[in-house]
Amino acid sequence: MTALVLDDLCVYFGDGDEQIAALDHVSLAVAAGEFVAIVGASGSGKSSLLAVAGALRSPDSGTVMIGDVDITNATPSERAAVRRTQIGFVFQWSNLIDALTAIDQLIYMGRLAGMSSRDARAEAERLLDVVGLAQKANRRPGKLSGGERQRVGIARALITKPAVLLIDEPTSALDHSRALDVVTLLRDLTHERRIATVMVTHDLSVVELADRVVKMGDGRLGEDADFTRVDD
Amino acid sequence: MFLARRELRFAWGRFALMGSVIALVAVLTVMLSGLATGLVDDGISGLRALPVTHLAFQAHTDSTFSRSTIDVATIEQLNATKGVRAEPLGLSLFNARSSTNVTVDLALFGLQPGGFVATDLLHGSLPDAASNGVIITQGLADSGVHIGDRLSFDRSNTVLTVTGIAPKSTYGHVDLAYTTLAVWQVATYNSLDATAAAKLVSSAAIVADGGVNTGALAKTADLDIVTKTSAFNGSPGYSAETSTMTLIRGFLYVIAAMILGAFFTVWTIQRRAEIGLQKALGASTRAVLLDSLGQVLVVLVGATAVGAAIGLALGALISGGTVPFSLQSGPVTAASVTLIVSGVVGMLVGIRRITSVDPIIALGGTR
Repeated sequence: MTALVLDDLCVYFGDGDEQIAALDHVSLAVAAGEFVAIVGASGSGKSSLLAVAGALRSPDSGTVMIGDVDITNATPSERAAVRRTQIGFVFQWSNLIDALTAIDQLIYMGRLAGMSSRDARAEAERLLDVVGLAQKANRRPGKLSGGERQRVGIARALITKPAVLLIDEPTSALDHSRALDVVTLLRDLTHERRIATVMVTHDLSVVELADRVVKMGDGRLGEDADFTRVDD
Repeated sequence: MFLARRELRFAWGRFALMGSVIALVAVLTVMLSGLATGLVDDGISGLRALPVTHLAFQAHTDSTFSRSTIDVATIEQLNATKGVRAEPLGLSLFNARSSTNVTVDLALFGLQPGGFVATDLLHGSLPDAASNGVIITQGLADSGVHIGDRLSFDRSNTVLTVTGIAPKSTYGHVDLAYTTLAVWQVATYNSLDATAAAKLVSSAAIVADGGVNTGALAKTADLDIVTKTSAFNGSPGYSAETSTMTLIRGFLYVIAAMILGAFFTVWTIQRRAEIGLQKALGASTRAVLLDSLGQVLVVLVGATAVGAAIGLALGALISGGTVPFSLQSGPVTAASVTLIVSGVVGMLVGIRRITSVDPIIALGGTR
């Protein structure tokens, strides 16, 4: 079953009198339980792809479907609701909230999605255990290592049981060993929970863990999307 | 409030600093409120205590006792109107010297014996109608004038004996004294003979039913008839003092709004990335705004309460001294609420930027 469909997407940015295509007729379908890595250099359009797939912005043309729902022309508040309930984000640098402990990061997300306080706490405890941080649930981000922060970010993204997981450069702050740990965890969770996962990265050392690797450059995806290894 | 509460705990130093500034403004607000109320009390407490609804003055004298002279016969004309009770009321400012050589300024009320305007007594007795007696208020007693002392009034050659002491009351920042209307008329219109003086008085005290058309009554009698509250403006310095204090308080509220606006503008700018993250995770702009509003209200209300409490404690130390200072729950509450409202206005200016934060900034390298 296809959980995420991006069809013929175009996104343009103005640059003086010129228009630059951040996404140039991009199409991608990701099935539930599939872990897709998108690799490319800075400025290749990876983040724009995530922004559109993650309902952070609308495309200038093309279609975005999450499950059976077309969110292409959703209003900002409709897009926010989709992000709360259908999409999980794992950000570069983990992007945790300084004031919240690890468990509160998850509870906050759960409550945003409409979970009761009790359910959110129970699920948060379970997920922190899954990512190996049950003992550090009451630590704030400043008291966690880079890898631990990223694991909290992963757990936060999963608390709402999203259909789609979008991951933005998850290993940029990690050494190779921790990067492999984090991406392995993401792959395993993707398979276990039948999530359609898209990870953008320029870290080629971790892409072999993906089910599919797609190369991106100048706003376009590789013509044949089935790579097992790519060269930057 | 989930996030707001935790941010308050996490960044407590920053919020404590902001709260202490608000608390200081609240202290100033309460102190100014006490001074303003004290000044008002000092100016018109004697008038405010009168059991009247209106006062009548000579036309075109701006409700000023010292400028107004009306004929006692006119007051009889007012009294004949249905729903109106009126009686002569004299009020003049004097300088007097006591037999023990204490010099005082006083506002002398002339009251009609047996009339509805009367005074309470703390000590002594009311002067009888035929004697030259005077009741002083507590402020004059505190200045060293005692029962049995004789008070010589300047420019009138009138000498009155103190027969009693009434509760503290003032008019135009001087203490009140009460005597009979006849004695007041002699003291005030000393250039006239007693018969002529007995026909004159500075004003009329009126108790009018709600349905009485005082405008028509004033026109018929050729008087200015004003409500008791409007008559406050005739008190020496009253308008200037109240408008000055109002202006100072207004500036204080504007300053409070600007301080809060500046603080929350900086706070919002500093939190821009976090606000973007909240929105990216799916928080609506409304939810983020409400969270911030709640956070601000906690700081604002808490700090104002602390500041008001400190202000009340300081005010209690000042009250009763030579500075006209009076703390009453109404004005203090009104001042505190106004401070909170002006703070919210300032804060709204500060956090309006939340609406413009784009959730896309949560992604590291967009474009």
